[in-house]
Amino acid sequence: MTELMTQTPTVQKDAKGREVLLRVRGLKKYFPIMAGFIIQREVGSIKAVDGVSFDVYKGETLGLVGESGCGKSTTGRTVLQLYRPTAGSVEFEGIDLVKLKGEALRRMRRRMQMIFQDPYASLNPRMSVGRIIAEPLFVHGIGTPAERAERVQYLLEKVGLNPYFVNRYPHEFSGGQRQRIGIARALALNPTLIVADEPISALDVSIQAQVVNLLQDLQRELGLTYLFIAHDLSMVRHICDRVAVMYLGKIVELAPSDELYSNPLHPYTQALLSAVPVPDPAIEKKRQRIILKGDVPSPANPPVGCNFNTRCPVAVESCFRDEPELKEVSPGHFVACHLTN
Amino acid sequence: MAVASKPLSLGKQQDETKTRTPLSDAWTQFRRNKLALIGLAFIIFLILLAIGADFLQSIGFLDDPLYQHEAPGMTFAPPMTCTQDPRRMNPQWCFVFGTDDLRRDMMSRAIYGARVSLSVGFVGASISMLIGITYGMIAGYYGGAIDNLMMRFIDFLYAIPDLALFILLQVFFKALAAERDRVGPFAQALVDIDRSMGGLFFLFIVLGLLSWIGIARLARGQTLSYKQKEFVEAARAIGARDRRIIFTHLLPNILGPLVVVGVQSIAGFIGVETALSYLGIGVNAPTPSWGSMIATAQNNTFGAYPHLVLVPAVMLGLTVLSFYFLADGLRDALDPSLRGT
Repeated sequence: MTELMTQTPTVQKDAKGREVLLRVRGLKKYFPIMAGFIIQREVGSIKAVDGVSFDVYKGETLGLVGESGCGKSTTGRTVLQLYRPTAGSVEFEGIDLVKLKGEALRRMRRRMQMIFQDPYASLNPRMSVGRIIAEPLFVHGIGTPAERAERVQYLLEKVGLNPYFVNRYPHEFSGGQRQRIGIARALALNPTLIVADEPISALDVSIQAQVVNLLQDLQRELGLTYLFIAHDLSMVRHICDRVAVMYLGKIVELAPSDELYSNPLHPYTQALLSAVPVPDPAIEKKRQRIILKGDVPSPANPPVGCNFNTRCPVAVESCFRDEPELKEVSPGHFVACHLTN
Repeated sequence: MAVASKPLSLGKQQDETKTRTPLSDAWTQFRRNKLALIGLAFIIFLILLAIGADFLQSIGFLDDPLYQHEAPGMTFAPPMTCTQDPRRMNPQWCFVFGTDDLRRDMMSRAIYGARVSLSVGFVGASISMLIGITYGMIAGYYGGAIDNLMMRFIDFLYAIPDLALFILLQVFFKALAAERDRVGPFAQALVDIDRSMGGLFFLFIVLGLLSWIGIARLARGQTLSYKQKEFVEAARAIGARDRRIIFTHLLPNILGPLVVVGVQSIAGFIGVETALSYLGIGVNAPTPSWGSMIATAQNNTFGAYPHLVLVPAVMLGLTVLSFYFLADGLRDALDPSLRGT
């Protein structure tokens, strides 16, 4: 069990001296569109993630928000190499995961874990809770059976479940309890990075708060770093230190939470935030919603120039010609928009 | 241990002894289906009879199926007739089910015929499950070009009319057996094995050749749908290897419907064996089989002696029906979609 506790991170620091745990540069994930009878040809590709770059600092929570289909889940999965990226690099503790294969990658998986969206689909219905939580230890050959059992008990307690539940099966639990089991499984190997893919959106609102508080408590106690994927903007504001807004496979704005919510610069972020209800009738009455026209364009055929130009209320001529770069407009606040640069 | 302060309770008092495993759940469900229970009971009864036939014979409850009694006066003894056979140690013998044209005891032949039917059914189903699940899971799990190639091969096999192929192959093997002294040493060895098994060996080969394709298709489809599930992705995220994912995550989940189809196919194999034996190309001549018993009845005047066809036909009917009832009960018990998750 001692090897679980020892960590040897390669420290990388940015200009301000913050430790960078995860450095993603130019990440692309294209899914091929196949067609043809018997012999399949690639006739195009879905650009699910199209050139995404960001850093995640050690111990922070980076939120990744955007509407359905914007590529936020794909980004999370590509970071963890559950999907192999089409291009780009993912440096985790200084090691480029994209270049790793087979056994080397498998060993790296001990240090980065994932929490899934659907607690009903993410637990194997044929395995007992004890086996589910112990499986990561088993897969990496850690500890004796007795030590593993002990760790399972410890983890169950950690996530607020009764340790007596080890022999029960997933169908005997509620959604919130199942999500706790999924969290315990993610914690089993003592990872440094956890990608949480909409961990609360499948839960009842009353349970959401419990699970979010659990995640925050665990972060404080175990020094975890989260990449938190969500679409619930108020929840993201509550839990995240910094937030990245995605649209059609690209990051359009990245800023510290407070800055983003008080001073959104990208028209898409502004439209998104205007949709959040305010729990104050006086302000709520005056709230102006920015309603975007049209639908999200197909990621198989994104527009030329800025990919938001089809729906942007303030687009100018250059938006239809040049692709905007993600630029730092004020310290820590990045925007990809011609109008703010 | 801030997080562990309040373990959740499940409402009811937790005791670890009364946990519901998927298997105990299935049994609870299965028990409710009375027909399936009756079917199971009949099959177990038949298996015990088939295994214990030699023992029953040794203690004098059952006649030798090949023994031809002396015929004072009549050819066929109807059911419940008794005769004296001075050639025997124990000359008094009663034929509960009557005799056939060679004055062999029908009850004994029916029970020894069950041996042939059951072994063909179980061996055929085992072979087809083994090949079919392996083939289907490989195709479904690895996907892509491998899957395409493997499935086109199955389509090709599907185009072959199976009963015609069975007959053709059996005729070929019978000819091979007749020409034993003029074939190579390998074929001779095969023929010898077949002879020692009373003609069953070639039947197994013939039935196993094509029967797996249905199972393979089902296994592939199930694998395709389950490999998309989040718990498989979760297994990959913790670093599980392919072998582990296939055997501990996919196989237990896809096995339910495959077992149901497998049990159903036993009835089919028994039917095919009966058909082939009826046509005279099944098991070798003196070996008792229900199909050859029906053929005997047809060749003689069974209008006057209905027991000639009734005994094997009722045995066949009850057995096939029992397997279908059993499969039906298993489907209700093993199909998780019919129960709450």
